[in-house]
Amino acid sequence: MMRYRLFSPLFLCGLLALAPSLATAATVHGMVSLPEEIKSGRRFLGHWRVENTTVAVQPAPARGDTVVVLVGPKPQVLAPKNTPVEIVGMQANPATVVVGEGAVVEFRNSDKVSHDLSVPGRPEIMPPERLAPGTVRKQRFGISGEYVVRCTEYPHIVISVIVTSSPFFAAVDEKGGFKLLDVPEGPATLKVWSNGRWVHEQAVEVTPRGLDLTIKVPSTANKDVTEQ
Amino acid sequence: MFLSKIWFVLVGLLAGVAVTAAFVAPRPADRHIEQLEGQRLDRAQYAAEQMLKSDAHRWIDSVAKLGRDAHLTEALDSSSRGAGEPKALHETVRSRLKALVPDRAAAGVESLVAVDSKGRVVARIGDDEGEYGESIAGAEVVADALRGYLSDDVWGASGRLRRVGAVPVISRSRERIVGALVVAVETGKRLAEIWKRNLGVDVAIVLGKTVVSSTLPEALLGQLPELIEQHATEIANHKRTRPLSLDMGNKRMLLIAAPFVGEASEQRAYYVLLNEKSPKSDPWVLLSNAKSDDLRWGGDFPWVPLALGMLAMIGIGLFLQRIEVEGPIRRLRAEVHSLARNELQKLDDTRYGGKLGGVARDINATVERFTHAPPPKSEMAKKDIAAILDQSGSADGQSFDVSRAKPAKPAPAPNPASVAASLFGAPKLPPTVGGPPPAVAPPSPVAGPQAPAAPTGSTSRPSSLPTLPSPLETTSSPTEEFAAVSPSSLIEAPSPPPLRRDVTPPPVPVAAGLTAAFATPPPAPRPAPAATNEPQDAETVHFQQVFEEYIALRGKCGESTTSVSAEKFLAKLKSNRDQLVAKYSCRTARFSVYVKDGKAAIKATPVRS
Repeated sequence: MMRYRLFSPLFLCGLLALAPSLATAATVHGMVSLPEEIKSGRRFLGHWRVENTTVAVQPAPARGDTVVVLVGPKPQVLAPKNTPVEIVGMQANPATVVVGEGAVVEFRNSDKVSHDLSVPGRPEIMPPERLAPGTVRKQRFGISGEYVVRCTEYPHIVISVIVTSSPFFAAVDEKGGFKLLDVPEGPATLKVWSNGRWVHEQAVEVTPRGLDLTIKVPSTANKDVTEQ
Repeated sequence: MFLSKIWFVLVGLLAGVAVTAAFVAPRPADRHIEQLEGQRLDRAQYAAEQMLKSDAHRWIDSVAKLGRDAHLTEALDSSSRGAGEPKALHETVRSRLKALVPDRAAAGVESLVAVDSKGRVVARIGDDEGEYGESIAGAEVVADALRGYLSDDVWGASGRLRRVGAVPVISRSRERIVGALVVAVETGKRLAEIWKRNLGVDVAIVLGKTVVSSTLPEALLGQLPELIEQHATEIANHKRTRPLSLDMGNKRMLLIAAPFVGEASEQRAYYVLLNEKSPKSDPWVLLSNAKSDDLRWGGDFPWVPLALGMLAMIGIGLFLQRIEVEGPIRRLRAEVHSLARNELQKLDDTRYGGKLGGVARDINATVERFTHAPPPKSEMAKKDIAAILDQSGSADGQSFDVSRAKPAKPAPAPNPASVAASLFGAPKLPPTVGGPPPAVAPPSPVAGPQAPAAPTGSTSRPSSLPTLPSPLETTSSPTEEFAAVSPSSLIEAPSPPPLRRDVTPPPVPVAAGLTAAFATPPPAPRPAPAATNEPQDAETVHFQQVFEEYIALRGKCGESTTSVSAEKFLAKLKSNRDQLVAKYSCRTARFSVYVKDGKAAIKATPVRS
């Protein structure tokens, strides 16, 4: 009985302490509709690209290069950690990584050919360096920002490194859906990164009930956003 | 002269315009030629782009036909399903590819790769034929083919450019895609040579900062990648550059650069079409390139207008010279002749413009000066002789030639003897100006009393008459001096002078003194001495004797005797005698003739008693 009396106040105090955070946590989810030029799967087109007349053309597989990032609900810190990126089959997997400041990205070359990786125009961030088959290159990204790592020999290999303090990010699945859990209430900015650039940015107000967003990225600068 | 000057200025301006046009006119032509050359390169670039496009289509079609091969389809289907031994499938597919493309190099195929539906290489011919099993599904063109697209790309890996085409391989049941075929075509020297043959321009292929192949010596194209890099923005916006100039050794090239499509565009891969620019068309180059037919008579060259134009210019110039220079000069000369002939009092300087008018006014001023100012002594002596010998004043190189009269010095006053000596041919003595009088010779018995002593100084002789020892009395009084001739009496000598003492001669125009320079009128007839009305006294007889002796001596000396007027001669002798008598207070004067320097001359000696 005494133990019961003793635990009851502690339990209540714990509930009171956790109450604010539990009360403000919400879920932000939605759908991102990308334009055809992004969904086509080709960054560099040749002279011809015609469909065969026998079987249906398959959609481009999602390579994880579209990411939704929510910035600024409250000051948050994303702990830096090592993030692996594997280059195999002439493509990077994942193609986009979101890391905290000071995180190390490990580039592993699993191809049979070498890759020359660098951040073009930013040698101070990541200078060109040849990555032989079967080797790993560890690169630290200490400053917030967006960095596009390219292979000089095979330009279609693009690895986006987003360095941010926000822990609220999610990769878009093949259907365009995303889900951000435990987002605090309040104003925030939602950004969509795809194909090596920010393709969408909007201000949102996170409510206790959460948000369900449908984001349509226009083919050009026009952005059509419908908030539900 | 005004119109002539204007004409010369116009001709000079015309010549300047012609030279300017010769140097400037080729420049628009150069620009036009460069523009045409640029347009030619534009068309060549368009043709090259179309050739690339049609080549890509052709290779896609070719490899699509290969993809319908049953053996390949079966083998790739097996590999995709994981059925069969990979090595066996590799050998099967490779041998089949070799059978389908027996002469790969002649076709320009660098490699032909067969992948299964997972993007794994089953077999390849060409590069790395023994390698298989790795995945290339990440390559966009391969991924496209595995999704069902027929497409092309350009790769720029390992310092080489390759045009790539990929097609899906569809199962025999035509239900699914079992793999893909990828062909890589040579994009280097062979392509450049083909383009040069077809387009007629030189070709260079640039990958990054390297010229990977060219129809020109690649060593001369070292600055080409940098030049293209400078126009990267223009290339990105317009898919090509405008015509650019490039100095390549001693050649001036015009070039257009355009990017390759596909991944190679990201790797700064360009094809460059080059053409040698025409040489600059300065006049010397144009002349050196002229042919003889260009100047052929009857050809396109405008000989007739050019000749007519030049003749017209020359004619106008000569005409203006004639009416403004030669004509006025001719008129001025005629007027001056008339002035010399005493037909005019002065020139009509208003008829002449410019410098000729100034010359006319100067002549008039000179005439005015001679009319109102005493002439120099040499002129007086000349006039004196003219008055003696001839009515027209022609000395004609007689014994009283002007050349014998020494010009008087302005200061100090010359010795009168020098003038007298020059007039009468007496031997010249040292001047007595400022010095003691010369020694007086004893008087000649013939000449009468001794001549008066020489004056103490020239200042006492404002008339500046010369002193001369009498030649007739050289044995008795060699330093006898006497007054020679008064200038005023000479100027006012009658024309023709009558042989009378009491006649005052009318003034003679100064212009008469100039007749020696402009005209020589015929000599007046010499009157006979007997025709005079003078009394036949001793003086007259003496004068007539002197005249006859003088005429005779002139005849002996071979000089003309017809030009000497007796009347003027006698009048002059009398005048001189009177002047000597008045000046030296002597009774009379005696004259004698003698030969000096082969010519007749006269001496005068005063006689006191």
